[in-house]
Amino acid sequence: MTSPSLAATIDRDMEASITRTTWRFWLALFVAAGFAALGGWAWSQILQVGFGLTGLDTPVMWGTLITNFVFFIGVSHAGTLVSAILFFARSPIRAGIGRSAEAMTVIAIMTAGLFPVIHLGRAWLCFWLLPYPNERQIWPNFHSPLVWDVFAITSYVTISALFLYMGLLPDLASLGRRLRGVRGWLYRSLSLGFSGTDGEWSLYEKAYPIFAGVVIPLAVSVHSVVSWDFAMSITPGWHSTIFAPYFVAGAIFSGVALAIILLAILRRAYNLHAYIRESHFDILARLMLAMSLIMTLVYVTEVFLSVFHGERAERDLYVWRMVGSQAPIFWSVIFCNSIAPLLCFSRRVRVDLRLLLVVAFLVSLGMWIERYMIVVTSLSHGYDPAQWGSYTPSRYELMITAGAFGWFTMLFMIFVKVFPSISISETKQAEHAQSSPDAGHAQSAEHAAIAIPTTAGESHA
Amino acid sequence: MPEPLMALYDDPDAAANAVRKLHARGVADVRLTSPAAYPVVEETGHPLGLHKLGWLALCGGLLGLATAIGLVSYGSLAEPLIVGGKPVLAWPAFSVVMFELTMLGAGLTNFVAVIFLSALARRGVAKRARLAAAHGHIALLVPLSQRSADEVAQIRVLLGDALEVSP
Repeated sequence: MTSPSLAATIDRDMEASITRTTWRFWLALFVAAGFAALGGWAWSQILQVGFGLTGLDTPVMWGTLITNFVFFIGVSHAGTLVSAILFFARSPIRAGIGRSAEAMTVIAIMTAGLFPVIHLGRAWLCFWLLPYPNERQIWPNFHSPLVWDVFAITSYVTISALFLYMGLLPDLASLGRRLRGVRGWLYRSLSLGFSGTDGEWSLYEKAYPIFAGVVIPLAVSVHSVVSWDFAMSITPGWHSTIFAPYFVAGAIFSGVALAIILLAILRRAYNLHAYIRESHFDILARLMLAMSLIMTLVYVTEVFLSVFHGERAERDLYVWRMVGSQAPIFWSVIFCNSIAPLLCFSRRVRVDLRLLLVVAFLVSLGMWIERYMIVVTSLSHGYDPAQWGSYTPSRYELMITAGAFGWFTMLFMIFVKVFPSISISETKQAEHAQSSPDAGHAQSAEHAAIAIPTTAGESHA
Repeated sequence: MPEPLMALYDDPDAAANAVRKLHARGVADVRLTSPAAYPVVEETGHPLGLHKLGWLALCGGLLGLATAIGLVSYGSLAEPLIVGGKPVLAWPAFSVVMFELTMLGAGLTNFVAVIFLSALARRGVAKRARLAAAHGHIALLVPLSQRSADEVAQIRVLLGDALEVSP
C-alpha cells in the first residue's frame, strides 16, 4: 500500500522545491543571467558593426556559432528520447529523471535555435527562412538540408514542449488547487482544467504512449538532418554516410553527460536524494559508457576508412587532424570521449557523484570540441591546398558561446523554480507499484525503491 | 438530484478493493478522482471511446503529410529552379519535410484531442472530488439517484475501508 505520510512527503518536498528560494539560487541565477547578458551584448555588437567582428573568413565560414548550434541540438537529443524510451520500458527511474531531462531538451533547443539566427548576420531577416508566399514569390529551397533543418527543429521543439507540458498537467492541477496567490492561479490556468478523474487518467495513459511513439523517431530524425547539413556537401571530412548514426550517437552521449551534471546539481540544491538516487546515476553512467564505446567505434571506422580508402583529400585531412597543427583538438576529443568514460566500467565511479561529475564534464567538453573539430577543421583543409586556411574564434564569438551556456543555465534554473522538477504523480505511481503486492508491476528492487524519509531518520525503502 | 456518495482513500489498493466489491454487487456507475494513474483508475472503466485517440493521431499525421506535399509542390513549382541537377519536384529530397510535418501533425492532433476529450471526461464529477485528488486522496463517487435507502446502506458498508464517507 501507499503510505499516506509518504504521499504527503512527496507533495511537501516538491512544493518546497518551488516555493522556497535560497540566496544561493539567486546568486547562481544572477551569474547565469550575467553570462547571458554578456552574450547578448556581443551579439548586439555584431548586429551593429557587422559579421567582420567574428573570426570567420574564407574558407572557414562556419565556426564557433555553428559548433554551438550542433552541440546544443545534440544535448537536446537525449532528454526527450531517454524519457520516452524509459516510458516504454516502464522504468521506475523515469519518475526521478524524466521531467528534468525533458526540460533540458526544450531549453537546449531554444538555445540551439538562436545560433542559425545569429549566424545569419542580418538576423532581422530570419523570417526569410520560413515558407510563406512573399511578394517576390521566392520560396525556400526545399532541396536544401538547411531548410530541412528548419522543419525538423520546429517540429521537434513543438512536440518536445508538448510532451513536457502533457507530463506536467497532473502536477499543475494538483499544485494549482493547493497553492494560493499568483502561483496557484498560474498553475490552475496552465493545468487546462485537468482534475484527475478516471476518464482523464485513461485518456492520459492512452495518449502518452502515442506522444512517446512520435517523439522517438522525431528525435532521431532531427539529429540525422543536422548531420546532413554537413554530409550532403562534398567537403572532405563531411561527405560520409556514417554521419547520421554518428551524430545521433554523439547527441545521446553529450545529452546524457549534461543530464548527469544537471541532475547532480538539482539533487544537491533541493535535497532530492530520495528521488534522484545513486542507482539513477548508475544507469545513466552505464548509458554514457555504452554511447562512448559506440563513439569510439565511429572514430576508429572514420579514421580507418579515410586513411585506407585512397581518397587523397580525405586521407590528408585525417592525417592532418591526427598529427598536424590540429592534433591537440583531435586527441582531446579522443581523451574526453573515448578514454575518460572508460572509468565508468568501475561501479565506484558510477555511484561516486564527484568522480562521475568529472567524467560527465569531460564528456561534455569533449563533445563540444568534437563539434568544433568537425565544423572547423573540415572547412580549413578542403580539396584545394591554395584554399586552405585557419580559423580562430574572436572574443565576440567566445562571449556569445559563454552567453549560450549562461542562457541555458538561466532558463533551466527558472524552470525548476517555477515547475516541479520531478513528476509528483509519477513518483507516487512508481512508489505504489513498488510497494503494492498486487500492483502487477514487478520492479527491480535495486532501482525502483524510493527511500523517502517521512520523518528524521525514518525511510520507506 | 442528490449529491453522490463520496468515499476518500489514501491507499489505492483499498480503493481498488472497494470498486471491485461495488462492481460485484452490481454498482457499475462508480467514478473516481485520483492524484496519480494508480491501477484503480482502470477499474472504473473508460467512459470515452479511447480507441479514437490513435485514429485521430493518424488522421492528424495524414493531414500533416498532405500539408507537406502541398507546400513543397507548390513552393517548388512557383519558382522552378534546378538545384544540383535534381528535378524541380525531387521527392527523395522532400521526404524529410514530409516526414517532419507528418509527425508534427500526429503529435499536435494527439494533444488537442486529449485536451478536448478530457473536458468531456470530467463532466459530472463533483468539484469536492477534484479537490480531494489535489490533496492526495482517491475519491470514489457513487450516484445516489434512483437508489433505495437499503441500497445506499449496503454501499456504505462496501466502502468500509474509506477514511471518510460523505454525505
